[in-house]
Amino acid sequence: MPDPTGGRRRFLGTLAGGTAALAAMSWPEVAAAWRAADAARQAPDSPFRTLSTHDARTLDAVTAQLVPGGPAPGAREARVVRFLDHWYAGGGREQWPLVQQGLAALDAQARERGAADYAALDGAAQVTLLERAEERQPEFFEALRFATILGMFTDPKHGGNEGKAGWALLGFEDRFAWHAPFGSYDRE
Amino acid sequence: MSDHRHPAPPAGADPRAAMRRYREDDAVDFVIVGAGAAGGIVAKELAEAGFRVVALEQGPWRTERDFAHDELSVIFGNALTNDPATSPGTYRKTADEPARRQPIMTYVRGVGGGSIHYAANLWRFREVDFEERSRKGPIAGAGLADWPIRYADLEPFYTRAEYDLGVSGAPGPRDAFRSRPFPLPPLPPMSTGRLLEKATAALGWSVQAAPMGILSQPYAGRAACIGCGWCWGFGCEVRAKASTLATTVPRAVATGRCEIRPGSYVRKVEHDARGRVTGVTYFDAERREHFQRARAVVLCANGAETPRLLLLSRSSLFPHGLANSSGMVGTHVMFNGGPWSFGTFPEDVNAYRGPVTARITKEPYELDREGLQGGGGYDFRLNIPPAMLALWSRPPGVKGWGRSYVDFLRGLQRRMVIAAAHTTSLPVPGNGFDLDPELKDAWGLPALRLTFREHPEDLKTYRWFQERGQALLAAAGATTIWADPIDDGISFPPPHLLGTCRMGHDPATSVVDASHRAHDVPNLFIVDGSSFVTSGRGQPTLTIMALAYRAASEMSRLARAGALGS
Repeated sequence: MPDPTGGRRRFLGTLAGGTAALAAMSWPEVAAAWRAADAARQAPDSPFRTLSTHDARTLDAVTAQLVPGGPAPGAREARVVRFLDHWYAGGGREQWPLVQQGLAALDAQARERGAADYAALDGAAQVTLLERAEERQPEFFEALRFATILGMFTDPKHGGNEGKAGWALLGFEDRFAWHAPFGSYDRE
Repeated sequence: MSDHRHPAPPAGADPRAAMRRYREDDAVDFVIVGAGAAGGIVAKELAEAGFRVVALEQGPWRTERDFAHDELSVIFGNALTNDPATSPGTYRKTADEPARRQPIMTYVRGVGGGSIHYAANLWRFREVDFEERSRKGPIAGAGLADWPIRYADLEPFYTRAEYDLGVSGAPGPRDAFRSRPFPLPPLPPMSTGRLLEKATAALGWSVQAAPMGILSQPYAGRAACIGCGWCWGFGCEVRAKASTLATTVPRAVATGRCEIRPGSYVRKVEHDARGRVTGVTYFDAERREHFQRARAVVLCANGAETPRLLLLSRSSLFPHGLANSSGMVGTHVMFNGGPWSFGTFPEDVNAYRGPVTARITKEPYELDREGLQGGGGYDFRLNIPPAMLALWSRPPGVKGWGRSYVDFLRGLQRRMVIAAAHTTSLPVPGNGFDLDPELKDAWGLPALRLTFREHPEDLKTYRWFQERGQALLAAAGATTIWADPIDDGISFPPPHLLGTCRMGHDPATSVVDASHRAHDVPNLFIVDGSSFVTSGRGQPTLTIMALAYRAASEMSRLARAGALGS
């Protein structure tokens, strides 16, 4: 577990302060999305178990480029970072060191471009660095794409797919009981 | 446990409550290894015939309430299936390259076995499937052989299986003879069936109701299908799917003569100085070792684990593995071909709802006129849960992330259809499972090593099916159509595990005889996918089940004639 004391504790303290404190953090878009989600759900947030504040910030930026929001919620709004926090402590544990290395490389490349870190880059530059990672660090990139998609499209009980946003994007309804007509082609 | 609410399964006492239990030193008549599609049937048949039976199953005994629609734990967490972390394997294409660790097979660990998570396409074979060698002659590089039995020998047992398990369907135009009609009427066609009807009409092909182990009506105390859409890869929580867990296992236990013992991982079949088997050594769930005595042993552990167990059971009397004087154990593995094509439609198909499919075409069952070996059939379906769909389903040129990716995914679960082909694959002598010389499983036993590449004739057949699959989608009105490249190897851990202890009359070229009795060991029987001589057309499970009924009948006959040990 990276940064087990400083960053994580600070982050937990922030959470304890509620959504107002979240908004005061240095990643306003995250806070806005989460504040909206929290307002809708009125549910307490889960503290991060695996991720440091910085990990969460970077992953938030990366996943928002992998599955961008727009007319419909993307990975950020679906709280994929919360899924990743669970996943990298569980089923994805073995992938976490690889992903950490890749995230550090993204930060390093961002600093070469004069930014404080990856999350501080503008959107176009974030996309450029991800395209480069896809080409030059395919193992890292695919591991992170894989986990992001799991977080976006698996059952919300695992932490992501907030409000079933991923399922809504695909057009999947979790009713689990259907009868004819099933679709447009068997209506007669 | 499922988070979703479902109707409770039909009322009935837990079969485990009053189950007969045997002591390990009590030499039962038969100990069965594996309580899946084959073992769950053999157990019932032998117990009903009056024999004392113990079935050892490495996985747990789940109930319908244990089945959840949770893709993360079930598909990506191996909640039902073999876990490559504890039961690893290695793969190589040919014997002269190093084997690398990777998932090499998929099967369900648990009572019911593969019949828990299968799509339940319960196709019968046709006559040709038993006699391809004599009809076609030899094929270079393939160990093609006829079966020692014919369709007519198996027909009564197909019927038994269909009526015990509950199969919905209707006969097709060139299907083989059947002695009784389907026990249940066909499932509703769904939009996929209507689209396949349109496509086959355009190509001048026949179409027929799919024979499905999914109840179209209530049957034998079980509920009809509620159309949840999660057959493939998942267990059925209303018992509408024809698993042995929901059908034959409770009947086996109800005889009072059969014990199903879950959490029992068999590591060796033991024998006496005369070469007769005496029982099996196994680990319980706490990894304590036990020995169950028996007068005969029946292996139903699937086409990978059965040959593995025979190889693990080598001894001074059987230095190449038990029942392996022919050297055929583990060889000739066949996985069936699945060259799929994909398309999206302008309106909602919603193929993620309901059974996996309800209409099929077997028009390309034999492709001799095309100059191709083998053949198969098609259905239209979308048996892909959301995360798998988003991970792997996109045409070449569509990026797997970013704005264009999100645009492609919009509504995909409603509009996408797979033209799923199910085909033959040839038995190749150099393809097979053996023991990896180095890698061990979590119990310290040698892991399986798979050596496999496709026969060139199969690759030709797969390409034909992929092209025609795209033609079918186009004829049905699909707008975007694509296919993935065909691999000369395994692209995913295969679930159809066939041919590795083939049946035959000749002890030099087969492992078991026409009664499923090992040529080398008179009180050892083997029946599961390993018994196959050729692959059939991609839907093996009903044939595995029919073989199990027939093998049990042969075992009863031989036991009464004095074949069992003491």
